[in-house]
Amino acid sequence: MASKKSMSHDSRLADAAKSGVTPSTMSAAVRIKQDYQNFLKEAELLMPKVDQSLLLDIIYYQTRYPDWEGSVVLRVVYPADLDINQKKEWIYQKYQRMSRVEEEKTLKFKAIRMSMEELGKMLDEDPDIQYITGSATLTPTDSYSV
Amino acid sequence: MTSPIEEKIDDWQKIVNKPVFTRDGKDVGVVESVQAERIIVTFGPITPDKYAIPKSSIVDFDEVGVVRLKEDGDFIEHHYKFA
Repeated sequence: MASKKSMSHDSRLADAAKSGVTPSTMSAAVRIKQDYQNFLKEAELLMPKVDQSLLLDIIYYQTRYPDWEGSVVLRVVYPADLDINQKKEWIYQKYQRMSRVEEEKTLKFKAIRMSMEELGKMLDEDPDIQYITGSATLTPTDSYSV
Repeated sequence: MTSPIEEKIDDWQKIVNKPVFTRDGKDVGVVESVQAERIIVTFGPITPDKYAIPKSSIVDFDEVGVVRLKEDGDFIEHHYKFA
């Protein structure tokens, strides 16, 4: 079993040499992938209620384009049997945006300046939130359309 | 403390794209993604219905690759459908 393992490792190295990839760049790739996996796990622990694709989009836009205006269509999911209109009002007071109720428990609205920090603040202020998803866009679109 | 299902599903990515059924046999959809506390299940091609189902609702992930929930269809529809 051990020899099989070392053979496959050797053949991988041979393949790498043929393709011009050196062991050091290979280990760099492995390490970057490992670090990325660890980063995802950490993000999951820190913001378990946020859709990871949304989180990654916001981080990307916020870091890659420092003047990004934070244009995000958010879907905030609350538990069933909760007064959703009260939450709608809370969102209006906080973001001056009218939200649309979907399936009696989701508020969909278009936010601006929705950074990672703002997302964290929102979750801290409203522990009733079950889940946040949505999509971030690079360029601003019609402010009120959702 | 891990639940029995968390012990059974050691790698949650294994359930992505797998069908989800309720206790009474209703087809909820397929697992689109796995979040920290929930699985996101979608049903339908163009404007899919979306469900955010807690991981604790899963009772089984069987050998044919079907995710089974402990609640019935009405409960899932009322409590977890979000779009």
